[in-house]
Amino acid sequence: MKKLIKNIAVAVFAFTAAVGIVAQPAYALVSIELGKPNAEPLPIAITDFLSGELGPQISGIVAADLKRSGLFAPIDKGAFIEKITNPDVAPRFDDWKVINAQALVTGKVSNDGGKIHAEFRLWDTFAGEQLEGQQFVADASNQRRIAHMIADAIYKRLTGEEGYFDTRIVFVSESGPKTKRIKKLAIMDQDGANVRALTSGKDLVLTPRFSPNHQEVTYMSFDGDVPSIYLLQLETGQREKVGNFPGITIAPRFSPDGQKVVLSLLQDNGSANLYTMDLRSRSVTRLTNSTAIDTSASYSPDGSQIAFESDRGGKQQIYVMSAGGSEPNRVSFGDGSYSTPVWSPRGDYIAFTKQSGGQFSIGVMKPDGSGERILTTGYLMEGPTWAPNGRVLAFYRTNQGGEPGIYSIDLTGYNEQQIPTPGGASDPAWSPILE
Amino acid sequence: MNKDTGQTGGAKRSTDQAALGGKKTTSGSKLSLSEMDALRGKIQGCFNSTPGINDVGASVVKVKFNLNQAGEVDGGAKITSNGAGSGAEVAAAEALRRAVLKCQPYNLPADKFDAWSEVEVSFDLSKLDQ
Repeated sequence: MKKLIKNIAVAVFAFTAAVGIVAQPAYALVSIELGKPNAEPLPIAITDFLSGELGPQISGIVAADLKRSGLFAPIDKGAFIEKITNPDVAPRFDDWKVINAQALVTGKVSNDGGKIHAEFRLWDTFAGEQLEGQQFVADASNQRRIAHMIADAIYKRLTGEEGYFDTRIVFVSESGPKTKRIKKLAIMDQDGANVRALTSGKDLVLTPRFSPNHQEVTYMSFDGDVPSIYLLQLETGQREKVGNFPGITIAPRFSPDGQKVVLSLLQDNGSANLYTMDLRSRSVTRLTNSTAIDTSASYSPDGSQIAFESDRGGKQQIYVMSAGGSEPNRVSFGDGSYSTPVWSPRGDYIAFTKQSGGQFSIGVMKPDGSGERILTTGYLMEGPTWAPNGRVLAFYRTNQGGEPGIYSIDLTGYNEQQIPTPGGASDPAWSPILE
Repeated sequence: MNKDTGQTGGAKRSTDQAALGGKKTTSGSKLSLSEMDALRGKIQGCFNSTPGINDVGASVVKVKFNLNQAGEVDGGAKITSNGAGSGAEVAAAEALRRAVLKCQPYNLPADKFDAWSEVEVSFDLSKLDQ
């Protein structure tokens, strides 16, 4: 994706009503140490951006993004006292404090010859000051992206973490009866908007994964009866087979620098081993040499290690080894079996699918296997993928007798929400932040 | 989500303060432990934050403010420490400031005004991992 949107100004103005502490006689200083804060969603007032119909559409998407994150509670616009008529001047903070708006967003949007200009200001109502002010310019076709970028800027300013709203999710779109299932590769915005198919549905597709530069997707497809791994250029639609392996290749994933793909090659004796292929030189390197099934490899973000699943110890467990294949160590030791390890973009956790007691769970653990935490459990769920900020995950869940759907959940295990898709949807893969 | 670790830590801190007494007070008055706990409890109740949980370590953020005799924040609340200044630390410091400003006025004993006219609240971000 080209840089269609450019952030052209940061912190435009700084309206500050707060002043320094008034000098007083030297009295005793009371020192108080607080405990852990409440984790309630932050009440935030997001006013309709001026003007016309476009402004409220943009601010509406911003509000929806922030609400879906579970960290913010947009206040009903019917409660607003002040009507913002000029977003360039400081609001009446008292009018916002009285409705408990702890943050306030104002803004304006204009359409100038097919280019959208949008700007917003984020205010701390209790401190009486502007926290953030930015402008964006984009082609009119990217108005939703402008809204997502504004939501990212607000999220980052108020939480201190990178946002994840200006991202996409590639997934497998499913339809038709189980005996004649059609599985297409599809892509959508992280909020479920702008769904489009990337393949025709003629060939079955599985396990799509984004490249770090978010321009390519690697996935597995049954070309006839033989599954192979492909690379797809998202902009051009150009498709290319990865390597020419003497057997079935599955579960591809890019290295963090995008130069290699790690995959699993099934062999005639029923075993599967991990290989990497350099995408430039096409040279292939074998990483594991076992009689077990080694698959679902995922690099650490610094590229130095690989997590993978293997049944070499009897049932599926998660192992971590060096990127060259040496020193594999089992890291999962709980009840049941563990699969589909995915290393967090932050490097602090490995997400996994767990099967235990007849149920599936999505969980996270530290890379050394400590600190295992189950985030959600159900009839059938699998395939975790991380948002680029490493705080939110998506996965797919199938309720008994139902169609699969894609869900997101916070790293804390709260705020599980379904991402709307037109039909059945599985195997999500979250993109990096778009450029 | 309020863990009693804050209460324990805070109570310890308030003991220290009380024991030290008001070294610069004009009257020598001091808040009792229960009065300190009430003040802390009120601010704690307004302290709502979702800062990043990414490598903030043992950073401490602080906000300092003056109170007038009506228990209102006088002259604004000033962030005196935002740790190393990362986004998560700044966000936590601003959340602390919002808590102080949102919770006012504070109902404190008028005859001990000298003892509570200047307050500093702090939060250790390592508690987010607890």
